[in-house]
Amino acid sequence: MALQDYEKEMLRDSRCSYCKVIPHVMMRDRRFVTICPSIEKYNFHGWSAGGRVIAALALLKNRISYTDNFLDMIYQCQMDGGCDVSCKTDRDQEPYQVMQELRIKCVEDGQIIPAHIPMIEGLKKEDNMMQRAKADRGKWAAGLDVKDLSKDKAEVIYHAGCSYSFDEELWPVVQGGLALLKKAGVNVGIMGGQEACCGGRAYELGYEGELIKFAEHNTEMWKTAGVKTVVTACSDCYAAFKVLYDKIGKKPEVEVLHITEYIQRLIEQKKLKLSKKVPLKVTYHDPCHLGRLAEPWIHWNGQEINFGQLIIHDPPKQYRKGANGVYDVPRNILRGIPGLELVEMFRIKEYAWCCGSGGGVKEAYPDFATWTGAERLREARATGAEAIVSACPWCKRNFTDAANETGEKIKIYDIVELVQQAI
Amino acid sequence: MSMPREAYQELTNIVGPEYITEEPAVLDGYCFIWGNEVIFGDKFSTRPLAVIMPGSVEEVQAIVKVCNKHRIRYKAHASGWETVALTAREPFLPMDLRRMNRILEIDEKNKYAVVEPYVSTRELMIETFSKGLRCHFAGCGPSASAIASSAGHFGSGASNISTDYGGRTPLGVEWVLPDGEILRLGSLGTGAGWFSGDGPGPSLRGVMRGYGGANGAMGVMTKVAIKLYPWYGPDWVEAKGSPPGYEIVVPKNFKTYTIGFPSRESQGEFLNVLMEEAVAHAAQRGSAGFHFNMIYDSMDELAMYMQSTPPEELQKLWFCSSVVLDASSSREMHYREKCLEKLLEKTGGYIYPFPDKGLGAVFHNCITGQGGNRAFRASGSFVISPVGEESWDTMQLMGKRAAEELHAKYEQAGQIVTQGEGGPWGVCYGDTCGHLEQIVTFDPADPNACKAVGELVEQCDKKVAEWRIGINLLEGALSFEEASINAAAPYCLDFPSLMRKIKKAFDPNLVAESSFYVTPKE
Repeated sequence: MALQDYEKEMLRDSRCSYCKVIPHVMMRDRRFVTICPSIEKYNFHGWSAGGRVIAALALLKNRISYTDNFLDMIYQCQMDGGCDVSCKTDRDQEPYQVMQELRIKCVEDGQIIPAHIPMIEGLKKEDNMMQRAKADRGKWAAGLDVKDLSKDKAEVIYHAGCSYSFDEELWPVVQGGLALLKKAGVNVGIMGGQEACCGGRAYELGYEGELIKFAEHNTEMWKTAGVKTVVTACSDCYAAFKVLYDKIGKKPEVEVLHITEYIQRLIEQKKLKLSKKVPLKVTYHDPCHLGRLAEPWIHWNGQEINFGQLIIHDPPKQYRKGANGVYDVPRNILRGIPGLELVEMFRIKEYAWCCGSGGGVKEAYPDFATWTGAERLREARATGAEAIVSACPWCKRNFTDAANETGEKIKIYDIVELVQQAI
Repeated sequence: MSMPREAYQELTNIVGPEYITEEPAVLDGYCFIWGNEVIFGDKFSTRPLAVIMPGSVEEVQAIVKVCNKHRIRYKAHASGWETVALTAREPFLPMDLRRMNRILEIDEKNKYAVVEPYVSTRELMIETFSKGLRCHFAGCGPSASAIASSAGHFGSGASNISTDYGGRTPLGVEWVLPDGEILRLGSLGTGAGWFSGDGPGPSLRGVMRGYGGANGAMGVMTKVAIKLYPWYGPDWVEAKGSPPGYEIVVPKNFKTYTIGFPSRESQGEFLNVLMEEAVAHAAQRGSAGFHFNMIYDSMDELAMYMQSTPPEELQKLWFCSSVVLDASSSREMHYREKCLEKLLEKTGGYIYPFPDKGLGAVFHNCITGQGGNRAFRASGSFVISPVGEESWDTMQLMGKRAAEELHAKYEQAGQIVTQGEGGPWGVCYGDTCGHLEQIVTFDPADPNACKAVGELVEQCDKKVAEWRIGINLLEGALSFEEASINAAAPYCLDFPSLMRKIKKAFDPNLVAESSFYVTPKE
């Protein structure tokens, strides 16, 4: 659906501001009741989902035109989807989709954030979002003795993603994930230098065509490689493969699993055993793209009916409300590690606070990204945890940067690192 | 229309460039609000001059003085989720109080909390529940500002039966008057603290907010001591499961009931005696749709339920109330349950067998207002008209006459949905007083419906006055530019002229925006 297809829905916005806070029923501690980093940082209503819905309508009605400030208002947002969950506690609306379509319209209208241009140019030339040479993509796996699926065959393909491929500090995590699979005897391979971006982040920036292009490329590549399962090291890739490809009608014919889901499966199959003690009190941060944004896409083809002024749908419409992300799997893994104590933060699962790096914010507004990450570290610290654990390279990178900037000493782990310690 | 450069610079000097803007894309977020489609035929009203965001009483005072100097109209708001907060025919300066969000003090002994305007009732509850205390809240939901629903607006919620209406809950008040002077009401005015709203010190609540609420037209309340009441529940109410509804666990010390009545009279008698006996924590009347809306996760699910349920089953809740009892001990709860039982016997009321999930949702609605936003879910907008505050029996009568004589023809034409006489939402308070709102649901994307609702509201203004059963929209919502009070004036000693004189005395330059109060002329 294009932006104009949401016009009636925009007219039905009431400006309630529920998108600014976690669902009211889940509020426990007043320090941690907000859900939207954007409105918390920039304050004016336009920096909320509701404000962007209004601005989108104003744009459609030619009340406003593009300015630098307006573009900042649109793009100073991680597209983390927390707003959408809160909105839908009481409303049948799609503020997240409106924001997504607004970004797509910006790109179509040639309204582009300068900081995003090199990312997209790099993506077009080098198939990655990190502005690095494609030739370097497989270096993280050098010397790991793993099948190259551009030449060999395997049942499982391990997709590293752009962030893990080019962020050398994070290589131990992506290498660790592969090591776990190999240790469990999984018939796994990688595409190495031939691996391409998922296209998900570009889509979040508004580049719909890039998502289509990479969806076609990746699904064809998996088909050619003959793999049955794609295991993603990165949560962003997971959401793109599982949700966005389906959304645009290019659902992969292979099984898509996040590394945590595959580890859980291996534990259940007794191919991995968490046996060593890891004496650590940790809290778990739900990556947006493994949590609420990983909820399967729900296709609906029907019509809206004004039933004597009540708005209903034929057939009845189901909404993605954030409940069906991957929440229990990482927690079950952590609870299975001997000696490890898991404590929860105040904003978790579908109403978790974002790490801060998504939606192009890390690249265009780095201060905002680390401010958001620091807020999460503050919350983690408030639980009494010694460490914050996540399951996404973007989260780990941004938490690490935020900790370095603020002097926060809390330890930052990816769940794979703790599993490795426990094996 | 734009703001004079000199004035803009002076305002910028007060808050800094980060907290003031004239960006059109931002300003449009401050003139878009539900209800505009009825007044203007458009969701956008007039674009503001700018938006400013003060962080302290000193900044509020300085802004107000600049506004007086340059004759710039201003109005402050908290969440801004009210037509009265953001709508005007002429451009003005919205003052977004989002930065003023502190809970300054909770006095457990004297049972009050001193808060700034952006503190919502839900946030206040987080802090007070753990201290065995609770606050009044508005039926619109837990996001409403505690100050707005007590010092600025009428303030009706299910807890009214045990806390009285919002206007009874402010104690000491720090008030930036329309001309920029600061006045401290009640005990605060003599330096005796926040504990009393009526002295020692000036007792001017009638001027500050009157009965219906001045809706921002009498300056800015920057700190208010909010009265607190006993809370017998846990530090927080447990919610299980997943969104959107979650699953609220009704804590011990509470009982929740959804009760059907055979007639309007029996429902009225039940609520009147319930008020007298003072045994309920919360009580409200609402339609079957209102209550089932709490259970179902979408409008489609609700519609399927309503369509598949035999009419005689829904008829059981045609006159429906939800009630929450609380108690500090099991013996007290036993007494209260016995009272309720006797009352049901006397009035013919019957407890409707709601599923546990439904009762949890009704309970949470009754203690926080959660779910009030679902009134918008049906179509995207609604208005409340007629609305009244009178004796409960009078309000019940108003609901009946309005349904039959005003709403029916629009409903038959498919322009509104009301659920007839069973539709109004209402709460009771004080000595058998009632606040009743006929919920008029319509699609804001349907221009014909918007126009019809505008006509309906105008008719309600006239008819309620003619029927001599109160003043429609006394609390100001959608009474734009004195519409409802002027309709009532011929029957009520022209009270608006007196209100205008008071307003002019406190606001000599007429800069406190007052489209939803009285609007005296220069």
